[in-house]
Amino acid sequence: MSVSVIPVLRPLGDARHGRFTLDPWLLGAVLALLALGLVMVASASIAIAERQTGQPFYYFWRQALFVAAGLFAGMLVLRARLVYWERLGPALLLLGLVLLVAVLGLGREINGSTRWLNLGLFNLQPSELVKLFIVVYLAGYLVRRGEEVRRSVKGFLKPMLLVALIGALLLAEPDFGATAVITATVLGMMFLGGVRLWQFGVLFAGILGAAATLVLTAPYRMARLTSFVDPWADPFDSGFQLTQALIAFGRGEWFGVGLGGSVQKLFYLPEAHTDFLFAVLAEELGLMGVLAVVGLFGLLVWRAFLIGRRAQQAGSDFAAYLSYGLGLWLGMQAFINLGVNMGVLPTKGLTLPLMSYGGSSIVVTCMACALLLRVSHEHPLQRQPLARRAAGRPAAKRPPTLKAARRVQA
Amino acid sequence: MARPTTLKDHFRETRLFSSRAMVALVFTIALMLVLVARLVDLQVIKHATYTVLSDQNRVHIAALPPTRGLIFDRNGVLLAQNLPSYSLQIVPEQVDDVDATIARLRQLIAITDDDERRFRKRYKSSRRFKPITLRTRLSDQEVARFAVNRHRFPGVDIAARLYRHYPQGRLAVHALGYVGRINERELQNIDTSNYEGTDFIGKTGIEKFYEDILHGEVGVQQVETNAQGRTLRVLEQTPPVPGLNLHLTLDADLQRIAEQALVEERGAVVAIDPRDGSVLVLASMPGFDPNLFVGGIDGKTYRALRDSPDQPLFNRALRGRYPPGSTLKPFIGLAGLEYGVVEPDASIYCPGWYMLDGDDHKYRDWKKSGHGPVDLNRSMVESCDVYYYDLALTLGIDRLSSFLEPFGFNDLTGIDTSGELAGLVPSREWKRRAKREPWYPGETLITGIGQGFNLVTPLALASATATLSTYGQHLRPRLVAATEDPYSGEVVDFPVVSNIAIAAEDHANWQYIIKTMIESVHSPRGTARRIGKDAPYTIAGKTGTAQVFGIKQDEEYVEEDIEKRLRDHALFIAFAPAHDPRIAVAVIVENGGSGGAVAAPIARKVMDAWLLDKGHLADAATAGDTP
Repeated sequence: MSVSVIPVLRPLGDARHGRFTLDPWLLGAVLALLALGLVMVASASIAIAERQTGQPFYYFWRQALFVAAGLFAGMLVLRARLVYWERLGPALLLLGLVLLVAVLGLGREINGSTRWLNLGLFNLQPSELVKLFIVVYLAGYLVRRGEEVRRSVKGFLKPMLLVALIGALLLAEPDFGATAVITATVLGMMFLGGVRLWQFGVLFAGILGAAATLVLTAPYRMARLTSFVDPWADPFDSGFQLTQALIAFGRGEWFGVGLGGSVQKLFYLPEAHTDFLFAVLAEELGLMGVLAVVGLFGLLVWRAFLIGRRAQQAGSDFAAYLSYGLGLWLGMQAFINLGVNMGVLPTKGLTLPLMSYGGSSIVVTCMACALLLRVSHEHPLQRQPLARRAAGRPAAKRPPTLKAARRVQA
Repeated sequence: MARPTTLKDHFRETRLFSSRAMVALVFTIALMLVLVARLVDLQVIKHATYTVLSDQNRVHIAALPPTRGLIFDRNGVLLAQNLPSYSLQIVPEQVDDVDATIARLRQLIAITDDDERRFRKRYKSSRRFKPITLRTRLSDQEVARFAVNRHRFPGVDIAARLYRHYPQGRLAVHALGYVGRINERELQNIDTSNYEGTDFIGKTGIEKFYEDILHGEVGVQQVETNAQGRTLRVLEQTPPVPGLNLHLTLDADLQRIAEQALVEERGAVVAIDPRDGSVLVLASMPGFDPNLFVGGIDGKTYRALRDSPDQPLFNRALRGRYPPGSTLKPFIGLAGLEYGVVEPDASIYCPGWYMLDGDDHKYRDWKKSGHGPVDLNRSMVESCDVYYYDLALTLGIDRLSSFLEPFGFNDLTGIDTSGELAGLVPSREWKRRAKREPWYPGETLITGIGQGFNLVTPLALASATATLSTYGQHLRPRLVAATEDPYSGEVVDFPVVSNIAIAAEDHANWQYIIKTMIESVHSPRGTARRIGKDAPYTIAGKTGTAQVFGIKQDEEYVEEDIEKRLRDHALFIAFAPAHDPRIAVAVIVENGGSGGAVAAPIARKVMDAWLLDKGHLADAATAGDTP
């Protein structure tokens, strides 16, 4: 539980300490997931990469590049004080919205969805960025308008309207998975922010009512929604991917068929290296490997909450909400992806954070984890005198000047 | 931001926050437990099941494509059927070297470059465990030769498939249409899981229009296969639901007579039973053999068909839009009577031309010397153009077009086959919209003789003739009379559907027009007297010629001088027996010249076959029907 040291960052670190104090458990979980993800992408994509491009490691090398870019982006994030994120919140949100609108107009269509902006060197998936931006914005909003959120309906409704707008833009792509994750994350943050419970009650009742109306007016929606429960009923069409995923899980048993031994990835299971990476992992590494991944994500979420709580106790509400929000987001997305893979949730296009193939996803989740680490750095968990003194100094008490901000960013 | 923060408030806030964080944590742990429980269930408890499903005994899910419905004519003559054929298939994942395998197969079975190209295209885009067809329609010898050598070709097998066959060849091809291999664009619009295992889809005609009914529903079977992918046993199956058979209103014998009558020509014949809208004949000539298209037509044959000046692929009966010419006159005459602008006995003088006030353009009559004094009856019998110039001008274009529209001259008839085009009745509003020009009186004149902007398809013309014969009962033409379930034999009749009804309060005017049409055929001066002389039943008819080629003011139309392709189209409409009609016919012969000499005899042959050979004259009320 000791303080870890990253000499590379020392010249840019906190001058008072002369070193970075990062949460070692969180850092360990993140790096382990990234490494495991990279190995699994290599294994899952080897057959399809050879077929499509003639190079078996095509997707692996690209993913390695994405991970490198993610680590680099993470280091940049680590260097920036949280206070800038708090200030930039609204601007980032605006940027996110602009990107979402842009993708509808200029986006590249792949598999019937318009989710990617072609930026020449790579394709950007704005919905990934928006997830990060909305958490940052909402953390700031809950600090600035905490009283309003807790006391009045208006304070509760305003973020809901924002979610509705983002949801509408995402559904137009369409991207159901991102919509679900963002909605769940925002609701979770509002809950932690102290919104009165009856408001949640009304909201859920309203959502249930709307869903019931939709289903009652067109019964096929219900059928579509529940088709995942029995994928064998329609094994050619929507059920195909899921039946193949389930077979992959079933083959895995306790210790799996061994790394590289998956049969399902050989063209039976489409998108094995992206959304259904976990199924291949389950087949090759078995229940033990799968439990390890679940455990690592559990550790990640737990540390995120612990870091948030520490920040809260130290009086930095923004850092606290940010940590909770990021923890909720990553946890929620991991849960949904795992749930889809094992057939307990309807099929959505969602990546497994830190593991699935995909540049935007990797880079943005790396940035999110770096933010968590930054919080742990600004509010260390240790009860050592030095650390406590640092924690006892709420960031809000000494707002840095813009000049200071520039210096740190430079 | 200044907010009133008391110590107590902050304390309570923190407590609230902590308790909620605890709730969130518990919730998260609960979710994770759900995942873990499911994982244990999948990977440990159901491991055996899924292993069976995947590995040692591969369970494959195979589609059982449904059998396509058959198509019969009204007398049970088979028009479209399914024949078994053997095709050679390769499952890519079970073949080590596809190139070498194909090369070795070539020593046994003839495989063309086209076959291989098609195979390669599908090989790139389909899943590795799905069989891909390399050759279709193997001969018995080829099947036998492969069967002997089968052990040398793991992953290659022969599949029995059904393919569509049209035993009557080109008969009624433009009504039936044909099926062909499903293409990319069609894949976007169909339920792909229902078409799993299906090779063909209706491309045109009835085959396309009734695709849903003919196709049926796919079945599924789970089969256990050995390591080479050969089926060991069937575990479970849901049988396919076959498509329904169609019983058409068409009569293959009449259809053949109509097509043979047109065999040297380009044209169309449509015959309808006016009592229920049943289409008895829908012929467009020349035609083509639909069997060419079923297996995929080769490029050379297709180009020959496409580029032929006779346009055999062109469905004239449904899509050919021709000027109706004088066949429109009964309808114009009826308009005159219904609007009360003509007295049947009042005559005008026809000098052989007509002129508008303030215009020196001469609108000619087909008879250069003129018809002399002409009343309504004579105008119809001799087809005097001048009478209709005058009548059209008196009616005006607005009344003309609004009278013609309910007959379906401006709309699709709504027939149950694909590809129909609508005709055109010009109006002021149409011209403003389409040409951005005002309406000119001269255009009213030529509308009165079915020239100018007027366009009609042979089908719509036959339908309008049927409507005329039944005093305004406008029924939707139909090709399918009933569906039949091939298993249970349950027959479902299709209902007769009315298009917009025409409110004819008094039949006197209609009867008058029909009388003039009878005289056009049966009187010695009638334009269609050639077919009326020896007819054993009364025919009401009207000839028409439609100009293809504009003649200058001072020139004369001499048929022999004009190249065949520029001659007038010959038209004829008729129904019989005139007082209780059983059949209404429209005939168009492209560049045929004279309606009375060329088109009318074809109509007579079709009517003879229906009324005499098929005996439908016997049950018609023949009162007052002595020619």
